[in-house]
Amino acid sequence: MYKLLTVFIVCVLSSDVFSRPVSYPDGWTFMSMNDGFKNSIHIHYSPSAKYSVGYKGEYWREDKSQTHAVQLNNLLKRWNKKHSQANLYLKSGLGFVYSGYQSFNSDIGPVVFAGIATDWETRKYFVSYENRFMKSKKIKNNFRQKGRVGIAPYIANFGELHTWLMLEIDHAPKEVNEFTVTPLIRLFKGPSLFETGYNSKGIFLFNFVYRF
Amino acid sequence: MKFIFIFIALTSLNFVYADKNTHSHKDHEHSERAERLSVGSIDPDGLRINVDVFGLVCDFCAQAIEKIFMKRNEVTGIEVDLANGFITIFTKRGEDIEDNLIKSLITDAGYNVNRISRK
Repeated sequence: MYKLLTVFIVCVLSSDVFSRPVSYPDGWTFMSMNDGFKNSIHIHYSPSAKYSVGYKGEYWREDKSQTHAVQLNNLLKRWNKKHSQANLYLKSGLGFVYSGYQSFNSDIGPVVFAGIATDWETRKYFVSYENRFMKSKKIKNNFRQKGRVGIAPYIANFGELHTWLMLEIDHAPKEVNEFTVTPLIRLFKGPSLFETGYNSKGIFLFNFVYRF
Repeated sequence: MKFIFIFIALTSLNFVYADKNTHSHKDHEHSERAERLSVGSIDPDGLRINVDVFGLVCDFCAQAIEKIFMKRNEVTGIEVDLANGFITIFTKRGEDIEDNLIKSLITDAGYNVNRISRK
């Protein structure tokens, strides 16, 4: 029951999406990501358009571990053009990791992580890349990176339903199958963004973002 | 599998809610169709300030601009034209916003101003 509840809370409330990790000044963002490896939730507040701070919670399905951290997202550089925008972010966090699975024997310990995220988009095309290195003394040491390309089949106006067709490639060097490919659809309307896909490991992806 | 269906249901509700909000704006603003107003209202005796902005590529960008300008007392409404990268700020009668302040607000929101003009 506890496990089901944890997964449910993380999935429903939850993402780490390829949506901007920094909002407008005084803006809040709720993100949820549920992919082939983990379920996560990220809630952040942006005092300015340069950085955001918030809570990041993750549930890793393979080793049934949880991480809970304070995450800081910094916009290092933004390139604004007439019909495009590109960004470079630094994402870092500090918290703790817990696992009661098998040999971990209810271990709990500090965890740190950091990574770079970058994206370029127009109203028609989207490209992004991000990586993250996570280190913990007892439980977690991993590196992951993923990239995405997307195309909008039509151009919607502000307030209308935007649709994107995307392909995500996830690389986890420590996994047996290092690469996971996920074709997905993104639906975006007003303050809400929803993504769903089905990856090469046969697992559904659900991402959700709400900005307010 | 249950949580997947619950998640889809909750997300669908969210989109319905967002749609409802959009319609409520539309119902409220009588002149929206003519002006393609994003939010607020138009004072026929007020200024309309046209701003050419760099970096406006998605609804989140437009939402940021709306939120920032609609907090100001001088402003009655905002139109965001994503296709052309333009925003139009509608002010109250006798009110104006200095160019430097407009530039500062838009820059602080994460975008760049190319040109400002008034009607």
